[in-house]
Amino acid sequence: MSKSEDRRKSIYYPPGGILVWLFIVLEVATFTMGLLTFAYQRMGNAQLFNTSRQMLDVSSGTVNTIVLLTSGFFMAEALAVFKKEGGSRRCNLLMLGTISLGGLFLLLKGIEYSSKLAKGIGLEHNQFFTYYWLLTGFHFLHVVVGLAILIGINLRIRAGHYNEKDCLDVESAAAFWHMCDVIWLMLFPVMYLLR
Amino acid sequence: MFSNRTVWIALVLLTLLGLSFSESLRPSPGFNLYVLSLYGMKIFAIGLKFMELKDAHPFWRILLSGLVVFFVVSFSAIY
Repeated sequence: MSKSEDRRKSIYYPPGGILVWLFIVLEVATFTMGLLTFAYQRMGNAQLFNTSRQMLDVSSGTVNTIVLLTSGFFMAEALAVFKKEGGSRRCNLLMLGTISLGGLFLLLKGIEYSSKLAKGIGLEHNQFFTYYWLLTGFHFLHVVVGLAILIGINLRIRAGHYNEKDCLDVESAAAFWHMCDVIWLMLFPVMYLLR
Repeated sequence: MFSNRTVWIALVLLTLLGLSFSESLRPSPGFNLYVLSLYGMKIFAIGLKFMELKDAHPFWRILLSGLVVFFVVSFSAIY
């Protein structure tokens, strides 16, 4: 067993490092509390929440989910290739795929947002849409930050700053990106699907 | 063990399954639990495989399992 594999068995060295995981735990806890508040408020006004939910496009949300999951798959593959070959052409192509799909997610979400705004459905439309804008908007910002991190990491990989044995930053970026997947997989069913 | 590609295909299929059920099923007491379980499985798969927690200390896998169980149980109870 290599030194890095051995270290991974320690509670203090999860993949990507302890700091990014502390951040992930806090972010997931924050979104969970936001969603629990949303669900609690729904109990007092189920009819309004159900009517408003029907104004969301489940098909478009499903496409967004598949785009984000595919982006996560590309990132996982990019990391696996990086650990074997370093910053090879294949690794860069996979990272480019990850970034492009992340950009596509933002584009689709932007179209969804502009369609809502065109119908006059803003932050203060009703209680449901206040939560919708706050929670999905906060997630949108996480994806923007994740993309910025991935672009930065990819530029550094291309410049030769990392190698197969020194890839903690690449792992951290990947963990952050997958966190965006996990948060979306919590938001989507609760806001779009549950009745 | 499953490859990343296999997990990704399973995740996409589960997403499409969730869509088809949400469009076809009439509201029933089990619907929310079913949808939450599907998404709980997806979160678990991403954590274990894509985030590589399968290789980490058991604490991190227990934390992930706790999140999934809490997510499914609490939201199905509230709804």
